[in-house]
Amino acid sequence: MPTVYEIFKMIFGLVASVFILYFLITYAGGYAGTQLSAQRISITRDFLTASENVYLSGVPFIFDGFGRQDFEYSLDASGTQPQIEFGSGQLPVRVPLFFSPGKELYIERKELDLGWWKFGFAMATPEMDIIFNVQDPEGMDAAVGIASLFPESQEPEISFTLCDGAELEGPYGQFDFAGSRSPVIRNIRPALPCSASLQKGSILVTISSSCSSSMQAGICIRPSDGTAFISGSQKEYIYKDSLDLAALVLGGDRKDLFGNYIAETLYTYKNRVVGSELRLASVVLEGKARLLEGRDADCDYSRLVSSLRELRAIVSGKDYYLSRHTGYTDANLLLMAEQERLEALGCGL
Amino acid sequence: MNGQANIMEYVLMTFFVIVVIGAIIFLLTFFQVLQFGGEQQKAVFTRQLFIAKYFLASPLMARENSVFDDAKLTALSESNGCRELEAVLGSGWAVEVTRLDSNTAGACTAENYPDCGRWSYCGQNIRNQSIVLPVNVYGASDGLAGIGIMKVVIYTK
Amino acid sequence: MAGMESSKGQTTMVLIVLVIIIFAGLALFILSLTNTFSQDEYINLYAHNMLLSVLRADTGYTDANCKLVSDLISCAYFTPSYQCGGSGPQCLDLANSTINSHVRQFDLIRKNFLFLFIVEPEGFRTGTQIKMGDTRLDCDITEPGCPRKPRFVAEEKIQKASGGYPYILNVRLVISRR
Repeated sequence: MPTVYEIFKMIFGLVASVFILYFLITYAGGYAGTQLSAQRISITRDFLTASENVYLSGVPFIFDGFGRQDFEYSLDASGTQPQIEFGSGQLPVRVPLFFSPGKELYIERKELDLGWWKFGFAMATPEMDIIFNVQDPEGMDAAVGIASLFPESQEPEISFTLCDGAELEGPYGQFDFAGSRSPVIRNIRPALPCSASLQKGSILVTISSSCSSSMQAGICIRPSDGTAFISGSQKEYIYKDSLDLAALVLGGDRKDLFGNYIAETLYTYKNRVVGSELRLASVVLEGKARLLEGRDADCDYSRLVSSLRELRAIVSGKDYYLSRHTGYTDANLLLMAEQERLEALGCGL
Repeated sequence: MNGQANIMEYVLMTFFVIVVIGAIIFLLTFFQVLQFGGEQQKAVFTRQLFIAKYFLASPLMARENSVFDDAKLTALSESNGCRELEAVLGSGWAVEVTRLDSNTAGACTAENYPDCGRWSYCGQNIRNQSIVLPVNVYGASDGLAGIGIMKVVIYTK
Repeated sequence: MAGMESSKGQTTMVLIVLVIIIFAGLALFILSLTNTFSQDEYINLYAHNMLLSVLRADTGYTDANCKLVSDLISCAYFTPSYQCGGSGPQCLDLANSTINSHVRQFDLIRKNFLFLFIVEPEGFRTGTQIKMGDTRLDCDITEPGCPRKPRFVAEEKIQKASGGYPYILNVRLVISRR
């Protein structure tokens, strides 16, 4: 028969154990939850820091932080400040950054050369195989232009393949695909619609004069009127340069955690951020031209200033990129010609 | 009496164990708070550095080799550059660029350019703790590059 | 019996004191691990930026041998008696005075640091060197009388072509707290 003391020890021990365990589990549970959230913030912040460094220094970087934890993240460009949303929070994006989610991302600095201005941006590309089905030979330039904005990378592997009917030719690296001996240029006859079985994660880019919104998969580009489509979407996307197309291709027909097409988000983001920078660039260059006016008789900036104002008026329009006849391309060409003329005279800005 | 002493000793030991666990939790939390302070200092410096590098790399303010262009700086400053840059870099910062080898140290405007040597964005006469970095400022009017400094301050709440 | 009770109490007291000492030690150890921001990174960056900005600055001379401070340094190394602009000061003297005057315009350096510029051909640390600045830093830190405060070093290369031959000069800036 146990003594009162022994019974007391048992009961007291039980009560104390339950108390300690309850306290530890509650604390540990809360701590673990906080740690998970903190880890996501840390990974996303590291990604943004890496992208900023690449943008500022031009030195490419392979980021594999997203492989440490599986969570969804996407670009939210709907507000005034673009940010990355990742469920437990968001962080602001301070440099022009184009990315598609993946465990390992190759981040590289690229430039969109408009002739009179170079728009710099960081491109973070996950492992992908871009399959071009060039049914319209007019679209060869578009294919090469898209490929030139992607990086040359084996790890993660970023490759380009040509599809003609049921046949696939490739994969090629960026240097081979976008270079002077590109297979796109060699294959000058139009390809048949792609019927080859495509691996998971590959993005089909069809270049055809008969794109419609009911195509099978990926992106379709119609060079005859400069329009692109995303499979599953009814919308038309007007493209003016290779970055419009690269943004659509990078997103493919995937959707983000908001249920939006990543391609559409990147396309809209690209036009807003380019428009914003061009608007400010036109203000700064016009201001500089006014400050330097009259110092050198050979330097007449009046035509440049009026071209800058014209472009500024175009890109200041809301959703200017959705309209086909804004004169955006012509305004850029005019500025490029005027800048070259002034540089030849030693008056370049 | 012996039994009571035993019970009391038992209670004391158990209490002691609970205190030890509480102390461990307190120490861990205290350690995290201390780390946070150090991290915040580093975060402020990192942001200052980012803004400095952004200014030097931006074609809106600089020439190709990370040298400021005084005409661009003046044009940006005259066109409410702070508001434009805050849309990109967020708020809570200020930058001042000063040319050191200029005869005049006044703030640059369209009226006094190029007889001036100071440009401020989002703050005037920065006295708060800031990082200061040597830079070059290219005179667009005379084609000569001079030395200068750039001050970057982050306003912490 | 009473002796056993008091020794039990004493053991408990000793245990309590021991644990307090352990925790105090643990706390001190944890405190020593906390991340404090180091000024060294900032000073290194400052030194590097200062070296770059001095080298890129114009001297006011249009003579190709003397236009930028980097040109002047090359001239001072290879043709120290060359006169800038034909009749101006000699390269070496002008380089010395220009560098000294530029560096002293940076408050942080003027008030808190000694500085020394060392110019030597790339790859030859024992080749001819020219030194400009505070010669108190021209010594090994282990030598008696040499300033013992930590040094920060920034390096840049100047590439030039002379007589059809390319050459590279290494410019080193050493700074040390006063």
